[in-house]
Amino acid sequence: MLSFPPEWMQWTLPTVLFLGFIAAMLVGLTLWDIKDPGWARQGLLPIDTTRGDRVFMGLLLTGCTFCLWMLFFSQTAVWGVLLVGAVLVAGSISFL
Amino acid sequence: MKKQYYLILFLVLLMVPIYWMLNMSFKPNSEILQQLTFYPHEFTLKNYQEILSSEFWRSGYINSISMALMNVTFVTITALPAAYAFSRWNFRGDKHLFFWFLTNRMAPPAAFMVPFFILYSNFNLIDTYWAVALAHCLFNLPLAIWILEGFMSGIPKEIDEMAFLDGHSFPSFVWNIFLPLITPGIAVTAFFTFMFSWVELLLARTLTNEAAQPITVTLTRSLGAGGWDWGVLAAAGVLAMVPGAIIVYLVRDLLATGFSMGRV
Amino acid sequence: MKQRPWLFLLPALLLVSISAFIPLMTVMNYSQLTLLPGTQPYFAGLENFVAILQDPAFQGALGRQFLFSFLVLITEIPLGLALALCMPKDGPGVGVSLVLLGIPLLIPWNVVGIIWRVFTRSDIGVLPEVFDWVGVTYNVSQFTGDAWWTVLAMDIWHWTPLVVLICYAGLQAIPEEFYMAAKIDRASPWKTFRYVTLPNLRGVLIIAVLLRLMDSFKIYAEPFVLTGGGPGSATTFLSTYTSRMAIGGFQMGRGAATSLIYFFIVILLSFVVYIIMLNLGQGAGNDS
Repeated sequence: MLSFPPEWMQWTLPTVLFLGFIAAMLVGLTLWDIKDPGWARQGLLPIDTTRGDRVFMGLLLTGCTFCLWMLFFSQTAVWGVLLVGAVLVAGSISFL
Repeated sequence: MKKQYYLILFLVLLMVPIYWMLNMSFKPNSEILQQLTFYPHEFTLKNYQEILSSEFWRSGYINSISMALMNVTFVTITALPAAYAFSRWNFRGDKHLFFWFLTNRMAPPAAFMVPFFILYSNFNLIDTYWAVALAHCLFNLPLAIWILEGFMSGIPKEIDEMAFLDGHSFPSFVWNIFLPLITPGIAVTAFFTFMFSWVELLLARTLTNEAAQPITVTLTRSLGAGGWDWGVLAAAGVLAMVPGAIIVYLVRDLLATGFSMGRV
Repeated sequence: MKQRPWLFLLPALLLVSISAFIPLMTVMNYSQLTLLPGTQPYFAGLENFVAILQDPAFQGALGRQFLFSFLVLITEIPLGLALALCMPKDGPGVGVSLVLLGIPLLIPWNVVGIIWRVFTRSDIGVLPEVFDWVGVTYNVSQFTGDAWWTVLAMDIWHWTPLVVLICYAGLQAIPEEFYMAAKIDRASPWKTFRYVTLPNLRGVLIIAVLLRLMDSFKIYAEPFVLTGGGPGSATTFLSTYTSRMAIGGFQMGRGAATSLIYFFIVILLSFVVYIIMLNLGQGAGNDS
């Protein structure tokens, strides 16, 4: 009866990729932090942020982009979201 | 002390709707529907009798209280060590982990309704206390960690160090020194988790049928079942408030300190 | 030694994984599927997200939700703070007020709905009667405006006491010496409030705002019982919409997609408000 992963969870490829990406990012950030501990600093926003905060903000911005994209362009060129997302995360890490 | 009149005014306004329900619960249905009366002209206890003599209603109260108590137990046992870790040590990603816990407090129950149902059906837990008690951990555990962490941070770290220098082992330190110090914190946590578990409707309704149905669900179902028996409904509502009122009375001194030490 | 924090966190993490993480992963999976009762699920890509985001009913519920939470915050927080300032510092009044304030918090949410329903129903309620005497027509189940402000009044009735309790706790924690110092400086009551009370309340105010924001975004049972989301869809908020999507005989994939979007919005909003409040407070603290 109990299989792993359980059947009712209905795993789909995008979910696996997404969770894998998040996990990889966490591991990556941890390693980066061990090698080169980041300090909280001020960027474009008038607040102190650590590297983790900036990544999180980048992901939130990507989420917003995704929702707006779905709203206005439906499913045309979904790849664009990933592209914009990558730019946003990278940008947030360096500038926010 | 003129400003206290504003407070009194607010408290009176606070009590008006409650009074209206109390008032209704002592009236027969004929009086409720026919005229507007500000106190029961034909005082009756029939509504209460009907509820207290029916197994259907009684089991609702018992279920509700058992589930809430189970939830408080789970949450307190797991939140204590977690809060200790957050308050005593700095480790990689502690702030982010803390925020992640808190996001679960933000999770809308409506969003988790379906997966909970499927998850618990697969373990045959639907319509048991376990399902609801575990599901309510979703929003109660983060809250418990939040409150407890605040209380623990208020206790200086030096106390830990002194105890260890005195030769206490870790369990002995926790049992003899630390727990007595944070008893108010635990009481406040238990109060708030009990409260949020006791009042929740959506998850409880999704995860129970007849056997484990808590009082909140019983009320909604009988509300939807037509045949508006307003008197009985009001009496049931009043009875659903009683445990809460007792608890508020018991912990009134702690209420004021509850959130003052939360971490921000 | 280094792993010790994680050992302590293990039980909590396990509990969270059952109660939050596994369900969340399941929702993610379902959100990309078309799940109709009695058929094999098939992959639908992002169709569900598009359908939800472009659904006028969703947009309406979202807009109402924002307006509602905004109104709740701007009324309950100042009101709660003001009432906390009116609370007596000691004496028998304190216990009585605390107990009375605590009562609405421990009433099951649907009972709150029922209380207000019997209070406002046109056939048995007292409120319509009162309005009748004044000469104003009032009907919750017919007029959008009436339904709206009744739901709002209910929420203020229900949750302002929590804000009062939190603020009162914060006020109690301010050392008396601070007020003494202000008195010696002959500061006006307003200045004392602005430069002594408010900065010291920063922490508890952030807690109060965040709690009210999160909880007002989750509101479900009270308007559900009071108005059933009506008249029309005038008091349909996000939770009502989501639960209707999830169990209302519609396909479950839509419900899952709605849940994800909903969750994302709550996290985003709480994060933004948290950051803003944290920095506003610091600014005020530096002034003094």
